[in-house]
Amino acid sequence: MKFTLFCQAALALSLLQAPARAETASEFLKSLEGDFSGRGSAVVVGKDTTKISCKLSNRFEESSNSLNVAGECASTKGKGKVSGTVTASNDQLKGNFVSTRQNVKVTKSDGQYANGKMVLSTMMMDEKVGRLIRVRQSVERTDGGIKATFFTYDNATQEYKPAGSISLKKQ
Amino acid sequence: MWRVGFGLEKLGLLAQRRPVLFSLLVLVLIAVAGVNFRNVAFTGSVLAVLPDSSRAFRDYEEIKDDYRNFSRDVTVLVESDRLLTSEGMEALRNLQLDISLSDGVTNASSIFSVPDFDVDSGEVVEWFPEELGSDGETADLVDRLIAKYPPAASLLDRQRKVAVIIATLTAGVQEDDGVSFEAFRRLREDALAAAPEDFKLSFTGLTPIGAAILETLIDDQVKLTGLGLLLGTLIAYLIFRNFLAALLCAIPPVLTALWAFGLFAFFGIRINYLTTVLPSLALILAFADGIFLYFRWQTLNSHHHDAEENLTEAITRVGPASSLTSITTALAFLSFAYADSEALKEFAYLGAGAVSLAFIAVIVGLPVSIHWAIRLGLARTGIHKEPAFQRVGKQVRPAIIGHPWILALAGVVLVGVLCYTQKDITAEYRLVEYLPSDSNVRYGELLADEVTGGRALMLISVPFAESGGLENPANRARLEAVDAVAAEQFGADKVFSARQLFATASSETAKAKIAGLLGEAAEREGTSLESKRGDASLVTVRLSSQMPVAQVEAETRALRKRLSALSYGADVRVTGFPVLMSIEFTHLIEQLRISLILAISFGVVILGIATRSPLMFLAATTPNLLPIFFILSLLYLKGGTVNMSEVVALTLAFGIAIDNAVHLINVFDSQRKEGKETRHALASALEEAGPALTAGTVIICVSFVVTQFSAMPLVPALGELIIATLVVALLSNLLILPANILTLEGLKQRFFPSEPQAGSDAAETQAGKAQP
Repeated sequence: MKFTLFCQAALALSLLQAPARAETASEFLKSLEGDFSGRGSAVVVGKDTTKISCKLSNRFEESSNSLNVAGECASTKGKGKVSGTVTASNDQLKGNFVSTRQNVKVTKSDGQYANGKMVLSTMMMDEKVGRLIRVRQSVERTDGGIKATFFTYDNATQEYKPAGSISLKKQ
Repeated sequence: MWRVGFGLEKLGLLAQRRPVLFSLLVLVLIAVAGVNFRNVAFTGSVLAVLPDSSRAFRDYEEIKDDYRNFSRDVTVLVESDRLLTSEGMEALRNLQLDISLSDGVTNASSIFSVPDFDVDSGEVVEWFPEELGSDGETADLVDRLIAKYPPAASLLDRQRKVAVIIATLTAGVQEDDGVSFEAFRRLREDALAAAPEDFKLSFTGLTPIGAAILETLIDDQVKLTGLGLLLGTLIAYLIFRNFLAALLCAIPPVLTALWAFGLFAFFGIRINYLTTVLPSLALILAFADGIFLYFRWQTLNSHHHDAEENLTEAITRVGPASSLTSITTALAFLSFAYADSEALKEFAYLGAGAVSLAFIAVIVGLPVSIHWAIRLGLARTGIHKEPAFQRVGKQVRPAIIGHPWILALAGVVLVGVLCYTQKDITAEYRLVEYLPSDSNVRYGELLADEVTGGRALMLISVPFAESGGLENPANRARLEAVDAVAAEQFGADKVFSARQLFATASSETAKAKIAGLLGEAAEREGTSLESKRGDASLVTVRLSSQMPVAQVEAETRALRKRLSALSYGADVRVTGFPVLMSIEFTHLIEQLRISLILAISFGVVILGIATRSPLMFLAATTPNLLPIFFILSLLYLKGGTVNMSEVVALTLAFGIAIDNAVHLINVFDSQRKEGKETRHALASALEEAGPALTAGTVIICVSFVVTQFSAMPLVPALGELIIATLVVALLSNLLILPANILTLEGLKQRFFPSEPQAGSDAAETQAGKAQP
């Protein structure tokens, strides 16, 4: 289900709060530790975007250069959990995110951090209907917060299309 | 002279003879209670008194297991003048999202959550866009949504500008009262923090109600116990005008309160909205009995200088009355054990225990305290003070002695007439009566009832004919049939089921898609539409939570009758909170009314045993039935219904009130044994017992005023009923009881004439009439 999309998106948003200078992916992930919450929009059901609200808690593990993410996102139609682990290696980010939604499995997830902007791409399989889902999150800082824009892959045009955005603030 | 106490007063005499030993015993009891005191626990559940093994209760629990736990839903009411504007609706949507993210909340729904489906594909589509348009466009969207799904009107009252957000607590939280109350408090805190300043929020649902009751119970215990002790001490001071007297009279109630809480904690019993009154009640009884004993001791002190000897005499004279007071009140409590409810059985045993502790506090605690006061040289003798209400006996005497049969006959006729009205009294339960007055939750419950068109949900579970859940047309046909039956009886706007969602689909494909989504949601987290196992569907009917239980019962019966026309009608389960309450409370109240009869029977029989006289047994019947029937008749005139606390109050009041008869009959009996004829003996009994009974009633009634300070509506009502019953009982025992005795003695002499004795009735009738 597409509810997973905004959960994934929200998770990606938690990977923010980059410092001003250029830094390694590991330093970037470490800077994401903390509790975040915010509002935005995402595709939850059907094709249209709708309002969402998220609350995330991120913990960084030095030994593995990885960030553990746990939290919840809600729309007017329901609420879902987000959890997962993202590991940094040089400027690359990789890892898999597990959604609590049934029948959806993350098959691949990777990303890159450069010039104060992070892009994370995820591929998921809806096991119930056998459909491949591709999403991308583009994240950048704004004054007093972070703005992320979400994209879903349109098989018909073979292009990523905007699918909402969200702003998170550290609590 | 006093022989009615079954010898229990000897405990007081023993305590006086062995003050050190009994002082240590009292201290040990204080220590045990003190150690346990910190473990006193409370429960705010309104279901606490229901028998959990009954069929109706099991049905209710099974439906919750099959679908989801409806009882833990928190209803948040949002009032704002700008609610219907786009800005207001946007703020409402944000608030819903923030409530959704509160810890312990699974999901929050509002008018934004009403599912809409594509008519052709059955795919879920968003009704409200991400960005709302102009105020007019938003209002139009709302109007069209309600026109399409009429039950959506229960989530937004456009006239009153009130919106409803329903928060479902997570499954783990739902199982435990304490955890769910904590989750609700967090939710309330989060919601209040997130809401704009011009949004007024109120909360209701069984969880907020339970949390509010719990907070009130704890607050009440501190308030009622503290005020009770203060008021009692004040009464003692006003009567004796002496600080030492007030202090000594406060000792039995203090001990009683401490021991009663220790008793609760020792047995690990949580105080609920019923048992909350026990410590205060026991405390009041301890005050009344303690003041009687002290009063007698002080009166004797005015005539005799040996304070210890006076104490012995006071215990000997007042102790038996205190014993019988405790026995009859404890029996009144024990009569509640007749009910099926475990909680009422608990109430019965704890009540009897608390009364016993009050008796021990009076018969042991007070003599021991007085003994040490004498030893410390604090007690003074030789001071004479006329007791209050001294002339009461003399004032009522002429009315009785002159025409006793008129009063006796009036008593019988009154009891007969008032008894006749009892057949029309029905049991009643209204949730709002259990909610703390002036509380946010009470306001919320009343508002929600108006806004949602009824907050009490009747749940009708329709078993499927075949497998395949709602995707199977045969199963949907059953749902449609039952939905139609419910809509015909209650009105379509009161009924909600998956049928309304299927009605929007234009093709079988769309219906199958919708059914698939519903089945998936039901299996995943439980919904109010289809069972988790996919073998039944739910039709929900909104009823007013103010609807009398008799009407709910009648509606349920009528519904079952309509459903019986369906071939599978017998398999359709009808339950829900109002249905459960209508069945269980009616049953419980009927049982409590039997408990009341049992209490009356026990009381009168004990009286007969104590006096060893069938004539006294008969004489005491009408004056002690009269207060009960009188109060029940007042309740009948007020609305024709009686609730649980009213029956409980009447039963307890009877247990206390019958002591008037005991006191009077025993003084009369002793006078007769001293050789006085009936009228003289009765005149003396009225003169001696009248002031004491009046003082006792005044003391207890004034003490019960403390119940008026409770925020729980049931507690002041209980206090008012007990006060009214005691006042009527005092009058009937001062007027009708003596009249009955005279009339029955007269009849006895007429039909079973005995040998004339010295001072016989016949010889002294004129003398009796000549009494002032």
